Amino acid sequence: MDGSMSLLVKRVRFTVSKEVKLPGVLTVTGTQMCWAPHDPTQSQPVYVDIKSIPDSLQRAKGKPLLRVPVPNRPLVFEFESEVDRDQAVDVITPILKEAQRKGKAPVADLQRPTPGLQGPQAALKQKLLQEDRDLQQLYNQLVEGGILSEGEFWKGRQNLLKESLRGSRDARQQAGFKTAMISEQAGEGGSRKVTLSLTPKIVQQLFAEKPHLHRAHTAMVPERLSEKEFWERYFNYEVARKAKRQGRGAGDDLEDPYKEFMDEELDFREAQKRLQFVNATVNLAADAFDRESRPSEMEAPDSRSMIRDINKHAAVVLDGVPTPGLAPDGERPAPTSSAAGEAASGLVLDDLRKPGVVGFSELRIQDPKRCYDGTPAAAAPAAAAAGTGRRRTAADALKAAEALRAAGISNPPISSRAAEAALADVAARSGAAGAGWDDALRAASGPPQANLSPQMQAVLREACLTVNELLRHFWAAFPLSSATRETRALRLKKALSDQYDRTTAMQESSQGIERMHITQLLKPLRLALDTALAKHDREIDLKRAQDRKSTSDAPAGMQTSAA
Amino acid sequence: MRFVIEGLTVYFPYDYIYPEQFQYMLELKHALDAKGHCLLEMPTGTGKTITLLSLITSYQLAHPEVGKLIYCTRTVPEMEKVLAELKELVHYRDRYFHEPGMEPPKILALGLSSRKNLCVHPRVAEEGSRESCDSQCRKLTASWVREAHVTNPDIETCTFYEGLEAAGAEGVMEPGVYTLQDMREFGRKKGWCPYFTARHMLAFANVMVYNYQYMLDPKVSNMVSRELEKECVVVFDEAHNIDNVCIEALSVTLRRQTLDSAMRNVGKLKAAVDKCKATDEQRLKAEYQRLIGGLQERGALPRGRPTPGGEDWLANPALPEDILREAVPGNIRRAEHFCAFLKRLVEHLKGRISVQIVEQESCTTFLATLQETMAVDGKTLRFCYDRLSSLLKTLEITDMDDFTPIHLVADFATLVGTYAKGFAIIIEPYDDRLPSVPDPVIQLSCLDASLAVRPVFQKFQTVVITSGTLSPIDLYPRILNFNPVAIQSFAMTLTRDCMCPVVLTRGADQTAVSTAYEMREDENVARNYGRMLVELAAAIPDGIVCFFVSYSYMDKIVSKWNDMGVLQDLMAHKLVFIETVDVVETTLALDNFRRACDCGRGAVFLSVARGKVAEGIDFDRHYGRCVVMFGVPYQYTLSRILRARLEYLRETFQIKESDYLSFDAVRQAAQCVGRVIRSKADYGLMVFADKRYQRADKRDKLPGWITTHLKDAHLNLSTDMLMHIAREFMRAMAQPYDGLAIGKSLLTEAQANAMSPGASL
Repeated sequence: MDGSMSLLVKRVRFTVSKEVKLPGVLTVTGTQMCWAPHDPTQSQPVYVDIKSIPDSLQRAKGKPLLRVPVPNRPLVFEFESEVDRDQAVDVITPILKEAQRKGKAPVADLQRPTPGLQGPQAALKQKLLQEDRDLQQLYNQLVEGGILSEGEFWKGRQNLLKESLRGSRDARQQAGFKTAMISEQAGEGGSRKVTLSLTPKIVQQLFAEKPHLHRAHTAMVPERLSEKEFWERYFNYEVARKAKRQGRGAGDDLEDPYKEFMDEELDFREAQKRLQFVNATVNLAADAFDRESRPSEMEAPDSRSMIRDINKHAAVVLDGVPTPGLAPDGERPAPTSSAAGEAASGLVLDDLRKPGVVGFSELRIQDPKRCYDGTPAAAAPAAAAAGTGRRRTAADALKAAEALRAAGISNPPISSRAAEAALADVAARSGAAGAGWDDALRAASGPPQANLSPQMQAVLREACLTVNELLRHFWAAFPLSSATRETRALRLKKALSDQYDRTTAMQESSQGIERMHITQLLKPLRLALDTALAKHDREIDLKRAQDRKSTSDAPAGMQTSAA
Repeated sequence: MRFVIEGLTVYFPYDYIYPEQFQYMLELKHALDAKGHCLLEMPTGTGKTITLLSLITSYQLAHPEVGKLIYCTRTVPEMEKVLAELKELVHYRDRYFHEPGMEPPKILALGLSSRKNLCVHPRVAEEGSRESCDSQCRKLTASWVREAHVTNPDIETCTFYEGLEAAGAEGVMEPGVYTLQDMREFGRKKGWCPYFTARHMLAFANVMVYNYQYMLDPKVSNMVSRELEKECVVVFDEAHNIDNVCIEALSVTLRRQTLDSAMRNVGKLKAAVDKCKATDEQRLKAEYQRLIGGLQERGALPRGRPTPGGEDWLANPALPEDILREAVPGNIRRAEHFCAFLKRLVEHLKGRISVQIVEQESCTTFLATLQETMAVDGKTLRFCYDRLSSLLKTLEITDMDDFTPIHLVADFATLVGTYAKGFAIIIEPYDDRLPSVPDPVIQLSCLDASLAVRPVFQKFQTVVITSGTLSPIDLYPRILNFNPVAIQSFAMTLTRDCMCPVVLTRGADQTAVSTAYEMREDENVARNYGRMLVELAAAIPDGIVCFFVSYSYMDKIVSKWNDMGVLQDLMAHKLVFIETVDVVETTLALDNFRRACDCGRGAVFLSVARGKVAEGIDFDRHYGRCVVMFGVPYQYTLSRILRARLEYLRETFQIKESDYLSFDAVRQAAQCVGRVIRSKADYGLMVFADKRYQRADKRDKLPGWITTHLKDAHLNLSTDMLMHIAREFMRAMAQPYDGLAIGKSLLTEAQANAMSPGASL
C-alpha cells in the first residue's frame, strides 16, 4: 500500500476540551492520520502516526465520536455522522492491525537484507551491484574479503547512490494527473445541457489549481451551500465564461461566484516562494529585477485568465497535490537539488568531451603537498619527488585501465606515450641485437588487446580497478594522525602488498610477447603500489622516530621540526 | 586541452575543439593584437561563449597589460550561464598549474546586478520590485541615516552594509568566480553587503559580467562603468539586437498617469523644501553655493566610486561627453525656484499630452514651443536631471521609488535639452491598436543607435560584437557607426545534419498559412496551425517550443484553439505552458516546462518572438526537439516610433524601409529557431510556418547556417509532408551519435596545435 496516498478525507471537529471543538478536516493516508483546522490561526495541525497507536480505536455509542488512544493524551474527534465515523474506523483499523502485526516481529524483518548490505539504502546498493559487474567484483573482493568496511566502500560512491535513488523513485511513484485539462462534456446533439462527473480526485485537482475555490468550499459548504449547489454555481460560471469567449451568450457582468475568496497577496507570496527554487538559467524574474521597470504592454484580460489557468493546470499536473502530513509546507526538495546540480556545471558541449568510464572513481589528490605537510624539511625533497612520481603513475594506471576497458566497448587508440614506453621497455629487455627484436617491435607497437587473450584482459582490468580502489582508500587515510587511521592504513597496506604479489605472480606465469604486454600494462600499477608502500613505510618510521623523541626529549623534537 | 595559437597558449576546458571555434579564436586574437573592435558571427550551437572566455582569459594571462574583460549579456539567466562556464574554465585551467613551484593564476570574476538580485537583508530582499528594493536599501544605507544612527541607535541601518564598511580596506573578495548565488552566499557568510561588495570589487576584478544597460544606458554606465580603464576588452554577446537596446536606453515614455504622479511629486518636494527652510535653512544655502560651482565639480553629486553611501542614484541620462561642467543656471539654483520650474514643466507637458491627433516633431521644434510658453532655454533643461538629484539628496529623501515619475520627467527634459539631432518626439492620444481606449502618451524616441554605443567604442580599446545571427553582417557597422578591424562570419562544420529547417506554406487542407495582416482573422489559418502543432506533438518526443509574432496574436490564437478543441487535443499529448507578460509567472512556467521534459511527460511552450523567453532562454537538448515559428515576426509597422526610425535610417544610412523591416523580422525568426541547438550533438527540427518564408527576399536574409541546411524540397511543405519529414528526421537523429567526427568537426589537442604552424608547447 502506498503510504502517501490519502485514503479518506472527512470533515471532523477536534475536541480540545469539553467546550472547545475546532472544525477541520481529517485525512487518513496509508501511514498517517492528519487533522488540519479550517482556520490555521486557531490551532496547529495534528499528525498521528498510525503505527504509534498502541490500542484499537474506540467509538462512542450514539454519538459520532472517535477516540484515538495515543500514548500521552487520547485524541477525540467528532464526525458529522456515525456513518462517517464508521467509515473512518473501517479504513484505519486494517492499517493499525497490519502495523501492530509488523511491530511484533521487527527484529526478524531487519535481519532479512542481503548479508553485508546494510543501512537504509541496502536495496539500492544491491541493485547497483547487480547492474555493474565491476562494482560487484570490487565489492566481493574488498568488502566481503574484509579489507574495507561497508561504509568505506560506499563513501566515495554517494553520487551513484543518489543517481539511482532518483531513478528508483519512479518505482513508487503514484499515478499522476492526466495531462489534459478537466472539461465538461457538452450534451449530445448540441443541446445546452452539460453533464459533469466529479470524482474526489478531480475535486482535489481543482482545489490545487484554484486555491480560492478551496477556500470558498471550506468556508461555505455545508453551512451556506450544499456540496451540489456549490459546484453548480461554479460550473455555471465556467460554462457562461466559455460561451462569452466564443461570442455566444451575453453575460456582461460575468463574475466568479467565489471572487471574494481570491487572494492576490497570498498567490504572490506563494509565487515568490517558488521563485527561490527556480533554476538560475531560466530565471527571467531576476532579469526583470535587473532593469528599470517599464510599463508593461496592455493585455486582453479574458484570454489572460485562460492562459493563467493553463499554466496553473500544468504546474499542478507536474507537482501533484501535496499530501497532508508528508510535506506540510509544500516545498519540493528533489527538483531543487537537481536544479542546483545542473546550474553548477556550466559546460554543455557534451560532444567535446571524451566519454568517461561510468562509476570509476579515479584516485585524485587535490593537493599533493598536504600529504607531506607534516614532513620535516630534511625529507621534503625526496617526498616531493615521490609526490610527482606517484601522481604520474596514478594517472597512467587510469589510462591503462581505460585502454583495457576499450577492448570490450569502444576503440580509442592506445596512447602514444604508452606505446613509446613499451618500446623503450622492449628495447631494454631484448638487448642491442636480439633475434626477436623485429617481432617484439611489431608486437609492441600494436595495441595490447591484439596480443592478449580476453580472459587475461579481464583479469588485468580487474586488477587495475582493485588497486585503484585500494589506493584511493589508502591515500585517504593519510596523514596518520590517529590510531584509527593508522590501523586502517595498515590494513590497506596489507591488501596492497597482496595485490603486489598477485601482479608479480601474474607477470611470472606469463610468457613471451604476452609477458611483455602484461609487464607494460602493469607497470604504472606497480609504480603506484611501490610509491604507496614506500610512503607508508616512511611515514611509520617517521612517526616512530617522532614518538621516541617526544617521549625522551620534547624540546629537541621541536628543534628538528624547526630545522 | 591546451594548445598554442600564433604563440598564445590557450586553455580550453574540453578534450576536443570545433574547427570554427579555433578560427573564431584566431580572428578574436587578431582583433586583440590590433587593439581594435571586431564583429563576429558564429552559428548558434558552436559554443561561442566558452570560446570567447577561453581565448580572452588566456590572452589576459599572457598579456597582463590587457585590462578587464567586461562581458555584457542581455539577460540575467545568460549572465549566470557565462559565470558557470567561466567557473568550469578556471577550474580546468588550474590543473595545468599543479606542478611544484607553480601557482595557478588568480582570477576574480563576478556578476553585477541590481540590489534586488543581490540583497541578503532579510526584509529588504523580500521587496517585490527593483525600485522598492533600491529605495528600502537607501533608507538603511544613506549617509545621513547612518550619521543619525550614531547618535540615535534606534534608527535602523543595514548590518551587512555596516559589515562591509567596518571591513574597510580589508573588504576585498578572494579570487574566484562568483555567480549571483555565490555572491549572496559570500555576503551572508562574511556579513557583507553583496551588492556594494560587487560594486567595490569592480576595480579589482579580472572579469565582470553584467547586463547591456550597465554599459549602454548612460544613467547606469556613468555610475558603474565610468572608472573602467581604456585597456578593457568589452564583449557584447548575443548582440544581434544591440541597436534596439541602444535606442531603448535613450528613449523616454511619459503617460498621463506618470505626469499626474509627477505633479504630486512636485507638491511633495515643495513641502519638503518648506519644511527644510523652517528647520535647517543652512542646508539649502550650502547647496546653493555648491550649485554655483557646477554640480560635478563641487562634489554635489557623487563621482566615481560609489563609496560615500547607499544614497547614490542613477546618473545623468546624457552621454558623458555631452554633460556640461559649468555652473547651474541661476533660475533653478534656488530650491523653491526649481520646484516652481518643475511645476511649470509638468503643466506644460500635461497641456501637450492632451491632443486629439498624433503629433510628431523634432527636439528643436519642441524646444521652441517650450521656450515660447515657459521662457526657459535648453541649457536649463539640460541641468534638470542633475538638479533634481541634488535636491533630493539635500532634502535627504530616501524613498526614491515614489519619485520615479518626476525623475522620468527630468530625464526627458535633460535629453530634450541636450540633443538636437537623432531624436523624435511623438505624442499620441491613443494606441492605434486600441483606438477606443484613450491612452495619451509622449514619447521621446532615440532614432540613432550609434549615439548610445559611441562612448563605448571611443573609450575602450577592443569591443567585440558577436552573435549567432548578424546577417547581413555589413549592416551593423553602418547602423552602429564604427570601424571593425575584424569582421567575419563563420560556417559550421557538421558530420550529420543535426538541424532540419523547413518552410510550411500550407495546412493539411492545402490552404496557405500566414500571419500576414489580411489573413490574421482567418479561422482556417488558426485551425491549420493548430492541427499541425497537435500532429507534431504526437510525433516528436520531449519538448517543443513555439514562437508567435506578438502577445496579442498568441492570445487570440490560443483562445481560438481552445474553442476549436485544438488545445484539448494538444494536451492529450503534452503539457502546455504559455509565456505571459508577468515575468514571475513566465519563470515558473519555464521551470515547470523543464521539469515536464525532464520527467518524460513532454511539453509545449508557447512564447513570443520578441519576448523575454526568445531573448534569453535556451531550449537545448530534450528541452527543444522542435521549434515552430508561427509567422514572420515583423515589428508593429504602424508604430510611429518605428516609422520615425525608418525614415531616419533611410535619410542617414540609405537603408530601404522594407529591407530593414524584413532584415529585422528575419533575424528575430532566426534567433528564435536557433534556441534549440546548443551543441553539435544536439538536434532539432525548425519549422518556419508562413508562406512568406518561401520568398527569396526573406530567405536570403537568413543566416548561412540555416540556409545551407534548407533543402529545396523543404521550401513548400504542407502539414502531411512536414509530418513525414519530422518522423524521418527524429528517427535518423535518435541513432547513436558516434564519435567519428574527430578530425572533421572535432579537433584534438594535437590537431589544434598543428593548425598554427611552427608553434609548439
